[in-house]
Amino acid sequence: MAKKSQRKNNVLLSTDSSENNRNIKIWSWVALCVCIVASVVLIGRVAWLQFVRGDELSRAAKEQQNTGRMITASRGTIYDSNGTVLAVSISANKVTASRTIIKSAGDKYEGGREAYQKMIADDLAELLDLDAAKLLEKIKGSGNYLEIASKLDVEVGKKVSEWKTEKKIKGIYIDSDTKRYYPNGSLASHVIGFTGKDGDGLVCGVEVALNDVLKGTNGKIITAVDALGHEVPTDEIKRIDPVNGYNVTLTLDATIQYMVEEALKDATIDFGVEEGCCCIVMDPRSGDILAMASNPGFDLNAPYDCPDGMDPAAWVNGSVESVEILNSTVWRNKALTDTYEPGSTFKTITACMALEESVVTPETEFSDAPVDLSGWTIHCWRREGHGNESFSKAIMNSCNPIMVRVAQKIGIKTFYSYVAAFGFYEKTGILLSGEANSVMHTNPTEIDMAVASFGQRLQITPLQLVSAYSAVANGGYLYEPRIVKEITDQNGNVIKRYETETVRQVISNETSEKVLKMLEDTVAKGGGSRAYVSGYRVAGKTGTSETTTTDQTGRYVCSFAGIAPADEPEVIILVVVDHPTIGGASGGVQAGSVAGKLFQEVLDYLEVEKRYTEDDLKNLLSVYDVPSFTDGTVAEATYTINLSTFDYVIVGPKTDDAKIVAQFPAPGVKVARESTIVLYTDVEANISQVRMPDLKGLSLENAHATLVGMGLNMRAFSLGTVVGQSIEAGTYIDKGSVVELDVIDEESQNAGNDTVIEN
Amino acid sequence: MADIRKRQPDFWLLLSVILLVLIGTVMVCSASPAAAKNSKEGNSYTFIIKQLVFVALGFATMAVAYFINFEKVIKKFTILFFSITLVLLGLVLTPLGVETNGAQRWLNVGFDLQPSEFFKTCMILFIAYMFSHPKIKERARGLGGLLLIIAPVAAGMVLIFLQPHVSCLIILGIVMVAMMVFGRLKIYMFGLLGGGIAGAGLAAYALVPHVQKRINSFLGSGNEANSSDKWQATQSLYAIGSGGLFGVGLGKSMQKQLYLPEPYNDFIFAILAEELGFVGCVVVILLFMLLVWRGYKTAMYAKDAYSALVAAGLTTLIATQFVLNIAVVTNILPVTGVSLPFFSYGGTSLMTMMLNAGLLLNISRDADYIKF
Repeated sequence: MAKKSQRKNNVLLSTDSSENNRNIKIWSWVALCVCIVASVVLIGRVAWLQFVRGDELSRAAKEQQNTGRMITASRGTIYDSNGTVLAVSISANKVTASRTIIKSAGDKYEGGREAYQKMIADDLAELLDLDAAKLLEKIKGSGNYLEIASKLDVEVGKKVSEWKTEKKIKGIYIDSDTKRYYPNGSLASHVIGFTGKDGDGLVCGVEVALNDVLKGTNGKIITAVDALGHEVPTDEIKRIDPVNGYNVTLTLDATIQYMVEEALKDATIDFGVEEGCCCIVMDPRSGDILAMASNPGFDLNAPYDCPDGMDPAAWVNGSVESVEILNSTVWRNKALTDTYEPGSTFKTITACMALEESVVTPETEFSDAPVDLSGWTIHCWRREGHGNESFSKAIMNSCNPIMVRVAQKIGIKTFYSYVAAFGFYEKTGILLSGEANSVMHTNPTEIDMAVASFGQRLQITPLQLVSAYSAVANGGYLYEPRIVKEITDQNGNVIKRYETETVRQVISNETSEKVLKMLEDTVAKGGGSRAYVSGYRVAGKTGTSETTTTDQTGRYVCSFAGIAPADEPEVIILVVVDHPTIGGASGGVQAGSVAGKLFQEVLDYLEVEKRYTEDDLKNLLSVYDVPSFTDGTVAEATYTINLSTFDYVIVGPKTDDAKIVAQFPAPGVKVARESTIVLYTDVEANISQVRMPDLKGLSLENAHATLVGMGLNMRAFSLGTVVGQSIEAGTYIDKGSVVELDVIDEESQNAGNDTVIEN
Repeated sequence: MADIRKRQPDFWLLLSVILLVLIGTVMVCSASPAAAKNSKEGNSYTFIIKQLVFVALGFATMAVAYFINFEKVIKKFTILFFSITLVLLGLVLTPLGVETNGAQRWLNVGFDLQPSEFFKTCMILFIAYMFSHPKIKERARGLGGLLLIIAPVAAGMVLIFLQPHVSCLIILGIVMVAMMVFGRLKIYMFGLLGGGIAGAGLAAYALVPHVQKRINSFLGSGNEANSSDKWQATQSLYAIGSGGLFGVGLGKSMQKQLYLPEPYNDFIFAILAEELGFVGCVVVILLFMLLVWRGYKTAMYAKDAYSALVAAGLTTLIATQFVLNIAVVTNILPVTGVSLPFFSYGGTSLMTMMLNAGLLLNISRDADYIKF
């Protein structure tokens, strides 16, 4: 009470002072309320920024505070089916720069910032072979981090490191990187493909098709940096490990691939091939691609280099024009990105449907007379025709009018349904990029079908034909061509295994067998004889067609599609030679001889057992006179030899118009088939010698194969086991030498078991 | 007559001031080393050492202000203090002044002194004196106020405008208007005052390119936007946004690593938000509110009109600076150079704020403690 009255007293002392007090009290309350409201707003705002926009803001903050130095994931290895490395990632270095650190270090440099930047640009340009002026401009540019060079050889990275230490450079970093390396250079270049600057696959091949599988995920070392780019020590330096890419195993066999590429290179020179050639080797039992080559190829380690035939002086690596040229030439995988007219090789398809539909049997007789079709007359390639012959003979002789007659019996609808069933209307679906589709009749007429029956006026890819032949060979099953066998991780665990995918069964097993028999005859006795390999039963068909899609006339595509062994097919080989200019243009000669050579090598390599037919054995005994080539030109000689069963070696200049001055064996000498004739264009030149092997105890077939493989020639007069040889084992002799073999046949051997036969 | 005076400082006022200064000092220690290392001297501890000295001096100042005889010294010599600051403000513009970043705000007297900070306190004392003087207070409330109060204050403001120090003017303007309200200026005078302030504001916008740039930058009007202000505002948001509920931990701010310019100064609250999170922010804002509440309470129960007006004015000054600073840091308002009381690095600022606190405590000692 007392206190209260005191206060009242106080108030009463002065009215003004009490009014003052009241005013201050009221307004103090007002001001306090304003402050409370303001505080609530401020707290609300902080909450909004921290909880509602927190993620967004802190992410943006982290982005500037953290610098992620990338750890490049190692790209997966590509293997062939035997584990040979085709593509591998090797260690490399990359050089990066921090512009802000260079700036701040430059300010402390005696010559000043500009001089420091220039010194760095000049030195690095020299070390890394870059343009100094451009580099300086980049270093002076805006932003902090700059990648100066990547995929550098480790030695180069080491040099930059030494330079950095020696000159105490700040703001330049040498980090690890990886780089793609192709141990075999150009081998299987189109199938493998190559990678670009960012490490992703480019242009073609498995590198593109399986890029996602191969590339893996890059890792990061996250360090905190201040606004000037200096590292700030924090307790959380995060390291996100890279996930390395998976390894890929292909169905390809590097050895077969090598054989194929060598054969194509030789063919290109021997036949003056102008538009390139390609070859596919497939296992018809699984649809596995054992080899796929396109010539010309390129070096995977230097894909941008000037290709042969271009002017290296005018070539700028990586320029837009140069890439365009490369894209349309050496980078092109002709085996699946180009289409061509299959010509007579397509007759096999017509034969399949005819037999499957039972409109003919191999024995059905046909007339080879020209066929008239609404103004068009279709002749046999042999103007006089083959008269009346069986369907089987017609395939052997490659008679077009008979194919037309057979197709007419089949009927348009059925004909094209088989064309579709063999997969000619769709891409094969192979796991490679850049596969082209066929150009096929969409609304076929009678004429369309007539010409299609012998493979003309339709465009398919070599791969489509190989797939179809595979179906012919394996009892009628069309498989999706398989190029990738499996995907494994770095520890070898299988991530994915690609199984053979059956698209459909096109023909029956019986039809398949019948067609194989006809094709075997074609090689043994018909137009495909250049592909004949004694000891192996090769079935196949040649094809020659004029390219009509370009203005160019006289451009022929020669091809041979073969299957071996005919009774139990293991290998399909398709050789396509585009525009040969030496030795005419015939599927039989150019493509057939390449295929023959390949069948021999591939089947030997695959250790397919040789089984000689009676005809084979008889052929071994038949002897031929060596023709005279002396005084002729190389071109004339090689043309003649290519049409015969002989082989040749040229000693001295190999130009077409080089004159042959001597030959070995001499004209008129009697030798067995497949003999090698050595042609000298220079008398002074020496032929390499070979060491005579010991053939005693071998069968004649094996002795012959051994000699042929060495470039030696044989003469023998009976079949059986070799008991003697005219040249002693171990003697060094010239290639082309004729060895006479003493052979006793098995019966006489058995009869005279107790007879000791002396040498 | 029983003694109704407290005879001791208000506990909550003292507590809030001490806690704010302590937290502020810790924050300066945390926020400044990275920037200090990057400065010309290159010593991480430069700002910490200086600030610790200022804190010590600040407490001394607060003690002096608390123990000084309010009636016989402060009140008696108000006009003198005010006049001295005016002279100092004048000296700043002479060659004795120190220029930094295009503004001449400091006097070098062995150390850099910022007279505009003192002017804030002196203006409050001066206006309180005029409105509480028994002989002139009635005239001061009417037209006479133009000559008695507004003209001398405006003289100081013009000197500050010439430095230029626009953010200081804004605070002075707000506090001055509040003082006019507390001092019961006649209503029609507010009309005049409002017109004058609006005119001055427009003139500032039109004449000072710096003001224009800042406002444009906040409104985000394209090309004229000052990129460094925009940068500072953005970096401040990044800092606050990174904090979350409990912050990244004391000392662990990344934004102070040269991203946020001068993190130990006007934007120290952003670093607080980053390191101590929402919880830290709320604690600090509540401490300020405690201080403001006890400050106005002191005004309400002060022993006389002069003390009441001074207490109300000082509280309003602290409240204005704290609200404006946090509003700027949280990007509600455009970037201005308002420091956070008791937190921001800077000798004059800290010492005048502690002087203000000392004066408030002094007044609270004589306030009617029963009502408290």
